Amino acid sequence: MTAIASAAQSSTGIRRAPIYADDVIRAFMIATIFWGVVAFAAGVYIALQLAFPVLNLGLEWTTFGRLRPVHTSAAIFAFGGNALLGTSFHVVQRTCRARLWGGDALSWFVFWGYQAFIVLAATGYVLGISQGKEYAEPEWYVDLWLTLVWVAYLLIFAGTLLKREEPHIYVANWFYLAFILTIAVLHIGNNLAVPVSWFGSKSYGAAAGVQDAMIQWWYGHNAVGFFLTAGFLGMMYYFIPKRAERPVYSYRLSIIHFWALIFLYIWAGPHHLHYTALPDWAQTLGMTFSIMLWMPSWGGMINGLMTLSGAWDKLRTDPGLRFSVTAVGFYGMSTFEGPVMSIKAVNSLSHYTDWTIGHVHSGALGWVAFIVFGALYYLVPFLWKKQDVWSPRLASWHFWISTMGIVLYITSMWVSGIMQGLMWRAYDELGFLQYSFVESVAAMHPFYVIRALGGLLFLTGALLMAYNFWRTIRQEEPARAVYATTPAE
Amino acid sequence: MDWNSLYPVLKSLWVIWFFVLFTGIVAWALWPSRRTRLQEYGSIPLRDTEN
Repeated sequence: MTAIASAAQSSTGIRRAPIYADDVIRAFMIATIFWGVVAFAAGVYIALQLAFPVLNLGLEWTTFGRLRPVHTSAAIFAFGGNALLGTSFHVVQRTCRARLWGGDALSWFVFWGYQAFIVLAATGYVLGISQGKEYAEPEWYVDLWLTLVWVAYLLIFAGTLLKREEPHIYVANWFYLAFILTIAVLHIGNNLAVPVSWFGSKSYGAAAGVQDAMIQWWYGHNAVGFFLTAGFLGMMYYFIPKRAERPVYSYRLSIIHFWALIFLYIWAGPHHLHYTALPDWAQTLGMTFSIMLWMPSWGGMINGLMTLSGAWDKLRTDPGLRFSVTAVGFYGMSTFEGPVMSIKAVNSLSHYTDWTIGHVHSGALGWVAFIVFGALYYLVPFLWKKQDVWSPRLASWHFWISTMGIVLYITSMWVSGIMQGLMWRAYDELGFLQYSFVESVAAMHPFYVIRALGGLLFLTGALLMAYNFWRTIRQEEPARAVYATTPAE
Repeated sequence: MDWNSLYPVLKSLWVIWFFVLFTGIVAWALWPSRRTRLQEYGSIPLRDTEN
């Protein structure tokens, strides 16, 4: 592959597209599909462990406590992360009309380095190596490695922005850049630690007590805000207009959406620490900013949905677009539920219960996974130069099976979560707690089975997708005529 | 009054500064004379020459 980076000026004065670095994006897409299946399978397994504890197998390596971070990291960092890195490389090249900065070697380093991070983290969890910080479980040696990979990623992204042909930086790139920068700051801030020895895995965090808790949830909630939201909003702002073949509803609203999200999200973390040793004013501050987050979230949702106005009929024929639009619907729903749960009175019932788990999954399955599926159904045929996916019908099946799975998941967790909260706070006439903890655990059983069933449906849908893409990539078909006009790579 | 004693006062008013800054951004984005230019940026993803 030649390293022609800048757009060639043709004799007619029409700018030709540069030769983009697509190989690494294809690799990221395959990794996304692979880790997605791993993450969903791990989720189904640990859901079944909660319903049937015998599945812990009596081995330390397969207990729920060790497999749970395997599931969360596989879903967030492996599936979501590969999708974000891959699509950001796609979007930044297309909207800047410039090839990736830093050459092929650097982008391949980011790809393989990121996969190594995932494998190092997951093997550590199974062996019992963990910092014990939620969503920041990897120990110091994995954290250092990820920092190196992430800086290389930032250099590629920022370098590509700097050498762009397009004068304006399209808004999707703002969201991606905010995601990259903020995750760098959060990752370093929350993982400051002193290793006990050079060749041991154990370390102690720099902060202690309530400061440590506050730093952890400053990290944790902004991982939600900037990893699971901002980055995927970048995806929304590129792939929905692209697939609907019309510009975003309001570009001006997208600017306000961006800055409102940036200004507000960073303060919302304390809502994870209601009724703890955290000072009361900090809890109220976190709650207030969480409620204010309603506005940018819904502004963004309206912007995404209204892009479809005049093109709603495309939903009937395009399963990929259906995924993207449903994702935006779930984004609106879970960003409505989140602020409600951050209100202290509601939180006193919902916190530590399954309601939280249901909320996370309406975001993770409904928003994050669906917006990724929407992007994949566009990108896989595009990157492998095919007309469309092998079977749009199968993609449609994927959509309905997964949607059913999500509905089963979140409704069962609503019921079990609220029941759990009510059982824990119930008193009898003498002022004693009415239920022992184990009675609430026993009452959860049917809902845990329903939840596992929902997860199984979601996994089935993802397997259909993987098969569909395998057939798409393998199918014999002439290259797209429009694509063939660009210079051969 | 020296500048060092003014610093904590200004710092504690962060929410005001952020609000002013954010209001400025909103006014900038919604300014009527920028309408056409900003809305045109929305078509950047659709101007791909590859397809």
